[in-house]
Amino acid sequence: MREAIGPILRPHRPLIALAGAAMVGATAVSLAAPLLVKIAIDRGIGHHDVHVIDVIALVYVVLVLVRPVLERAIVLCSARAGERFLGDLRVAAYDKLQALSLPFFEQTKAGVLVSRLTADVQTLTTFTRLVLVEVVGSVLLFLVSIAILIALSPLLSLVMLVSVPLLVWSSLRYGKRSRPAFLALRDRVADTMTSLQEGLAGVRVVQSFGRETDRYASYRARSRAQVSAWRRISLVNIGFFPMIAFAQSLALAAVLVVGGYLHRNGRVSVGTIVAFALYLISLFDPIARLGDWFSEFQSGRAALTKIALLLETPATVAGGSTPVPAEGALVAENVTFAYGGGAPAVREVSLSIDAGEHLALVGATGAGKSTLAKLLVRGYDPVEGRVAFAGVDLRDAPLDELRRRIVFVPQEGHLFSGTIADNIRLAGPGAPDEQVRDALRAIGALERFERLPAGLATDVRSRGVRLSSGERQLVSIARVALADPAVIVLDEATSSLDPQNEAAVEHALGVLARGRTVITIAHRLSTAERADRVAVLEHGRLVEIASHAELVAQGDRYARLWASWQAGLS
Amino acid sequence: MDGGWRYLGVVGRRLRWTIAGAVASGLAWQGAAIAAPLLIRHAVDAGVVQGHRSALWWACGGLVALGAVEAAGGASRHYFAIRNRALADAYVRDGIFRRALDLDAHYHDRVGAGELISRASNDAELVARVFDSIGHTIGYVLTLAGASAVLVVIDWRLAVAVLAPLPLVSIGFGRYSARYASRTKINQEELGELTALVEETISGIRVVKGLGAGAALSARFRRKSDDVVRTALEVANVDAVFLPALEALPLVGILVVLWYGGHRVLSGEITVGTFALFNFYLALLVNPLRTIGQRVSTVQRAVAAARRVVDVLSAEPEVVESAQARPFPESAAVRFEDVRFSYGGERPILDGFSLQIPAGTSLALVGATGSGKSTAAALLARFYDPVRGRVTIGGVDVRDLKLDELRRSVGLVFEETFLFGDTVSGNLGFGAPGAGDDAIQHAARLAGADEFVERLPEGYETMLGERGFSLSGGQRQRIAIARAILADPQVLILDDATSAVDATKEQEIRAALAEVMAGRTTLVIAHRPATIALADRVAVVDGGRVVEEGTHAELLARSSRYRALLALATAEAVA
Repeated sequence: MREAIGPILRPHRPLIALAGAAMVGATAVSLAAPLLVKIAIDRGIGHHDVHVIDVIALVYVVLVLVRPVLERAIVLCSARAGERFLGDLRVAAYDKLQALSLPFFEQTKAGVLVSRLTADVQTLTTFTRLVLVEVVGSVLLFLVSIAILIALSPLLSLVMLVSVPLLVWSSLRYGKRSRPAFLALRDRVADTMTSLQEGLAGVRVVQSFGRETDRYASYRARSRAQVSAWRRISLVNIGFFPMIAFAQSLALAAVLVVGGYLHRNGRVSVGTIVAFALYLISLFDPIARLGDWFSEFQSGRAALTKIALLLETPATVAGGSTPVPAEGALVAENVTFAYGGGAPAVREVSLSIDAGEHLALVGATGAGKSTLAKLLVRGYDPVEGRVAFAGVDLRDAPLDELRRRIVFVPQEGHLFSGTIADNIRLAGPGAPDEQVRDALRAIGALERFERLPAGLATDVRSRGVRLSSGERQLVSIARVALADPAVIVLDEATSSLDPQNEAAVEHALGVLARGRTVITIAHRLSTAERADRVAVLEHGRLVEIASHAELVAQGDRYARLWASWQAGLS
Repeated sequence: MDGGWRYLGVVGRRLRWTIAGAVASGLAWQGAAIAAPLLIRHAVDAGVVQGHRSALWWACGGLVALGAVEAAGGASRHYFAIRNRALADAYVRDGIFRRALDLDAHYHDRVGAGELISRASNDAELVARVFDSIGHTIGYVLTLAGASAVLVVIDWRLAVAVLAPLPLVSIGFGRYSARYASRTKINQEELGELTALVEETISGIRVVKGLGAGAALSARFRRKSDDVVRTALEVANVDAVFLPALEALPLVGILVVLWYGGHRVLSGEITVGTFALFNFYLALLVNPLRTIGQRVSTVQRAVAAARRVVDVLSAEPEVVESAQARPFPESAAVRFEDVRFSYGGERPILDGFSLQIPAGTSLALVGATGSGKSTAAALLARFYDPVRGRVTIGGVDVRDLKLDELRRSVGLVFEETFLFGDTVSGNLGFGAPGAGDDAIQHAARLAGADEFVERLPEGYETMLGERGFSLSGGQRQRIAIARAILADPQVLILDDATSAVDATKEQEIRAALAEVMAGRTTLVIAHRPATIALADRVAVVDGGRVVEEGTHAELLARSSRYRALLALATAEAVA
């Protein structure tokens, strides 16, 4: 955890140190009071000296004035350090997501990732703002109180030890019992959440089978189990925290009794006894307060650990440093790839795509078309063989440069919140409006979007509910036009659009393809027919590659596909 | 009264007994703490200063006894605090889940599962914290009141001098509370935008990676994150004014005691013990004042959370069972009569949609994306109600049927398959609890799922779902089809339910599907000609209405529109 969090924490160390210093100061001020009381009793009251009382009051005026300043410094410094640290942590986690490659996202649930960056960071907010200050402050108060007590009267400090066996016994017991109880709670919470999440995410299925009552009942059982897990924690707590209050009274009583005897022998003053009793409160209060914050403290630590784990995930696809030429052939040499130890999804595929060539990938679902496409854009790295662009192994190329040369366009046009222009500009941050318009104009879609009430400034709203799926595809094509890459790898949409939109999208793709290398995962053979060459995949292997006409003439697999496609149309 | 406060009241009434327990134990706990300094005074004055041994022993024995009471009170306070927290948390969560299950598709389209989960977890937790702290807070309020009262009784002049600043606190409290609420709200909104960006990025990660748009998004995220930090610090600035003021109060009191009290001891008006007593009480006030200050934010956040909870709880489903609901009819003939429908006031998806499926026959709907096919299917299962016209089964308007019977009698298989974190057989039997192994395996066989299920590590007992074995899209769809078959519905709707099943496999299960469809009213939405051909008749949908109808062969022969649709739709044919 330290490697991941340390560098993020480092810039905030001065502020943290400042908050710490203020905390030490504030603790000193609160601990000064009993000492002043002692002097007032022994020197002022004991010697009937009004002057001493006035001086003490004056000293205390200064402390009263200093204390709020210190307290304010603690709040401000810890909030600044805490919030900025969390901001940096959040940004680091987000950057990490950008650095991680597709396999990671395919193996990790989206909900989990979202909660890392949101819920977990939120938990840490309470942690840094309140818990840390409370916990550190309490520990500090505790330690300094002990030191003062010993300095004040070693003898009475020994007396105070009567409470130690009780404290040690109950803390040991608590330590042993609390961990399993808290762990059990986490498990029960996870159970409830799973049940809840399933019921809500699958609410359509639940409703369509009319099984609401069953679902609720099975959820309720888990919800009850969570309540019982809490009860066990409360029973564990009962055995510990109240013991502190009892130990405190025991220590207080013992100090007073022994103090009374010692006073008669003249070995301690009244002031010392009173001060000692006052310090006992500052000694035990922090322990009790720690109990109030304990579970928050634990969940904060857990959240930090989870974020650290994300930050420490090694990026499976890291960039190299060989510069990438602007153009060239895209070559796969003997490429094999398997998902996480399974059977290879792509086996020993070799193919070379010249600059400006249009290639269609054809094959049944699961034949390896999408996997091959992802290998060509370095979404994954091959297990064996290599993929090279213009002679440079993709693994040796800097990632950002590579992404500018080779662009992957998934089926669905995913929109981000913001305006249409913002969405297109995703492909070229900082591109001026004119460039965005040029990209749209080039693909023949400018007029269509300008007709919208707010033109390109139209807000697409989250997930683009207001744009039709044809329009979404046009936006995603415009992005590519703006990015102006040498190679486009396109996953053709499977769903059909209405004829007008279909024509617009096809036109846009046609313009985009001009003068670029285009590799299309073809779901329609009409697309394959238009390509320069067609590559047919079967069970991960490249079984045929040639032009459409040649393959049809060959009369083998592709020819059969083509025939059945034609048959489907007539 | 504000909905958030009112809801807290509702939860409070629900927990009244445990809250009473929390309050009682909070009072016992702090009551003992308040009495302790009185005994300390006695011990100092009579025991130490005047040297009465028995007084010393009595006072100290009393202290230990009070300690026991304080410990017992504290123990039950802890118990009730956690109990209240757990119960309030469960109550809120249960309420939201129950409500969500009853809310209709309109609502769930608008409010995603993620949003509801956050209500049922984060907001429930925020509400529960208030109930966690009740005993604690009441105890501390008692300390404030009790300590003040004791001080006044013992020496009213000194007490008035010490306690004079307290009224200032309550004034400050109100202002603090209001400012805290308004700034927190702004901060929460910024956080909401940040969360949305994270969600969008993760769901669109392919686009992001494909375009290399990471840097641009990172910059945007950084800006949003900075906004969150800035607004959070504005909240902290409010804290930075109020909390130090609260902390300073007992210090001012101690100052008064030291000086004014010291003088009074010297003039013989009060004893050393009283002097010490005042100091003890002021030391006792430090924690309560600090904690009560922190409660302001707990309560404010809980009220905001409660408002969000009320939003969910007060939502009313538009699709409700009618008062004179009738049982599901014998004959499952389906009719759409001049149906018009739109999602929330947008342009209609269906308009003048009329269609008939005689009982026991099957019909395929064919049309482009957005033409309204799935909407028609959803109307038949009554996920929505039409704006105009009606949908009938066996001549009865679906709005007049018992809702749960309708849902059980109309089996709907979606393109997006949702599987539960349960075993394969648990998932298959979801719609037909109590189905035997034979029935389950038979259904799996019909859906073409038996082969791969038997090859799974633990066959039908293999766990699926989030933490279980992950199946391919086609396998999931076959499970979903088997699940629907097992429920043996009178009307079956397959909404693009075989889209991810590869064409070869689909070929294999065609015969089985034909068996399932035989004699059952079936509505099929599909793209592949072979699947469409399974249906007795085909209806072409365009612009929200049925434009052509006939058998597959007839339409192929006569309709160029139909041929064009199939050409677009024919994906990977036989490979």
